Amino acid sequence: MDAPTQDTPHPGALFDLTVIDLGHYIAGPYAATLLAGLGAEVIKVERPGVGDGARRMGPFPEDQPHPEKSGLFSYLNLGKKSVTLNLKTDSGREALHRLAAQADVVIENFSPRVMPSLGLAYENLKQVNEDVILTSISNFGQNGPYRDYRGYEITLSALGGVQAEIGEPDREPLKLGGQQLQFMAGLAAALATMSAVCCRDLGGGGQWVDVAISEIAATLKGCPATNFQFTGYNRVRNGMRPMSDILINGDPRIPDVYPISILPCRDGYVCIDTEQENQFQALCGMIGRPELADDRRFNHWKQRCIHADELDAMLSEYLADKTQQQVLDQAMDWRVPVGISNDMEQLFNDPQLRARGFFTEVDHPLLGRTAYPGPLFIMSETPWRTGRSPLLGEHNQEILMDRLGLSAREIEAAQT
Amino acid sequence: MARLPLERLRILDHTIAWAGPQGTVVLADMGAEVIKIESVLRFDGMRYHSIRFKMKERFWERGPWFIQVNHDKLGITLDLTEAKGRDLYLKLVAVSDVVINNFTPRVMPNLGLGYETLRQVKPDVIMVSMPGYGCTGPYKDTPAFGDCINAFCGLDEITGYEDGPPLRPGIAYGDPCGGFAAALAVLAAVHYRHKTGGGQFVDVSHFEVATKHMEGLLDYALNQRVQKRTGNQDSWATPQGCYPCQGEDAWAAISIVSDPEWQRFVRAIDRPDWADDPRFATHAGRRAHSQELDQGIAAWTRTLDRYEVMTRLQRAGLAAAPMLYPGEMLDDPQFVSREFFEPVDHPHAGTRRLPGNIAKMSGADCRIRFPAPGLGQHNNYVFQGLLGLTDTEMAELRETGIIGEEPKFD
Repeated sequence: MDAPTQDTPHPGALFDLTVIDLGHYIAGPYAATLLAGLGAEVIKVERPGVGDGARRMGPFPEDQPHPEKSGLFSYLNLGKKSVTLNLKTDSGREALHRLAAQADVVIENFSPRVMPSLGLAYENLKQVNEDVILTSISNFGQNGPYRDYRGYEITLSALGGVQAEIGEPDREPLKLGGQQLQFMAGLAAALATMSAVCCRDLGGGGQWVDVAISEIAATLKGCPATNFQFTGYNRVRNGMRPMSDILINGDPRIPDVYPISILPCRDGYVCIDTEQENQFQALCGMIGRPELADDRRFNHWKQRCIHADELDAMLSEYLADKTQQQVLDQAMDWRVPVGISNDMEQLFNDPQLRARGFFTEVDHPLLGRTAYPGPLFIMSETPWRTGRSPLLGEHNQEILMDRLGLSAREIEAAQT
Repeated sequence: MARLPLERLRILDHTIAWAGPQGTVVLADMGAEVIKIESVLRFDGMRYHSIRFKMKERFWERGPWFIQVNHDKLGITLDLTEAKGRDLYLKLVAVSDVVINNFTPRVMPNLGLGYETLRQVKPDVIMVSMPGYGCTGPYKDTPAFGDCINAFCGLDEITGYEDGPPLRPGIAYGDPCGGFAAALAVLAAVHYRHKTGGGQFVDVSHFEVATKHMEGLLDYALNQRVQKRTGNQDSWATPQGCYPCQGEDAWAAISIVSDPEWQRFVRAIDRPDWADDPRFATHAGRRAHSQELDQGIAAWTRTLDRYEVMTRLQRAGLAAAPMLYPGEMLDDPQFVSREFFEPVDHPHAGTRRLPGNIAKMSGADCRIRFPAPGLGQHNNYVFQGLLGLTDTEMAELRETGIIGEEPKFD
């Protein structure tokens, strides 16, 4: 595709790239949708009749399942085209080879056995496209004793050190709310893919990019894993309070910096995050107890940690009759770092996000108009592109027939 | 000869703490020349984070968090508040590709080093700015604190037991979100410039990136329903949870997502009574009786080592994994086999095993090449090697404190 001229609406930073998205559920499709937002042409290849499994996952409007109305699918597949191919047939495989021959990147998040079993391993794809970049996202990586192990968000959180630090000390450890590791792996895969693209730009050829969700989780917990090697000590789950990187008075429950906590106020929860001396002093002023800054129980960081319960009692007294917004307003005045624990309604209406125009409305023939989280970032010359998600096989004609030149019979053979 | 993916890219890196460095370390591991810019008066606080005892020699070179995210980077010091420092900086920009920082948006312009100024010395410069909340909006001047962003982005509110309050996620989530996204922004802009010759400015907000991962927003957008805390549950899996195993505070996570998996599960844990029980035959039924099921599963897991739970269930094609504390990941067979934690020798901190690259790249060996830099360690290479300063000029800069290799504490 030609470089954009001044008159055309900008096609995006990756205007010249074509991506084949074989992904399903979250990690692969999220990586691919980020590249679509950056302007790449993304062609999603789905199973005929059924499509990406995410089409069967809610949320659906009014909880009525419909393969074209999945909120999750539509968000994760914004900006893509869809073709249907049965990759287990010769015709389907042949069609995919022809797509790959014209593409820059192929993204997939199957278990590692699948692509080779379909004749679509990196070595196979290289034969039709010497410079192709294949990005594979798997649970544990393309090799190793766990290569073929199953994994879902909770089990990957467990192995990846994420669960160890969430929960109350006397109850079971928890996963993060939502599907954070899947999204982080998708984001990491997009980043690693672009490293390969930039390499190829300078004559480095294509390559196979191997992302493991468990390794992304371990990266998120890299700091405690490194810290352990200095202290011999692992952080433990500590409810609403921070964990400690050191042992104070031999008690792992005593945090190593305080007050940092999530605490209830009148209409929800707030996070108070005072890590520095001057912030604690400002906090004392904010809650109307400036004398606490000189109190022997609180005038040194270690003392504050040991007397965390008493600090909580004072903070709770202050918070009991304040709304989240009141706390936030006062915190801004006093320059105390505070966050309010937003629920999804509050997040959807957050003033900073709204001021930035972050939520983007997208029209879809069956879903109607829906507002989605929008740009990953704001580029001054090549703005983020937002297009709707595709209907199943919506682009069979445009891609398989018009672009690849397959006949109607060949397309039919690739569906069964 | 195999080349590292980003071998020809030079990045001036002002980022500090976790967010920015977590992004630039990926670029560094992928081969970019990342020049970390500090000054003797103001340097990356992570150098001594979690080191409470400032008694060791050169304690600012021993911070575990610093060492972990700053390998493969060159380190220089440069006082940008001094005119001479700014002069040198602009000369450095002229021979670099990318400038990245996580200051609030007025800092660089206040130094006289805003995007427009940088463009004058390097018209196609790529500048990425990644403050916590973005470069515009009512929160643009609010410094990013990880725990606050955890609260604002909704992660706190959805993390916790079903019957309990929001709990700390154990990760300043906005940081890796912002870091990875900023690194992606760099590469997207680099690719665009390769094709067209044009640079640009990119504005990355940690808060926005984290918000993009909150799929609960979709249920709100479609149904005005607010996501609740559900402990270890995901709606499509039953049973699912974290179960106690042999040993102290030892756990294993298990997730069963379909009826065929359930059938394999009850055989694997030797509960034929469950296989025949019609109450548990469907997803809805298992959900309704999840407490009973969880108790029964825990009775089984309590008799086993957490790794044994994984082995037995994975053999039956089921998802299970031991819950590892971060330090335990270093010895897990899969991480070991993949060589994910790489031993890196640091002159002051010793040999530590650090998380490696976020991906294995078939085109080149992207393992960690060298440890995190000492303060100003590469001043000579950068100022003399890249900018051609003489020994005399370097001596004068050191004397006036514009550059240096030792911190100046107030």
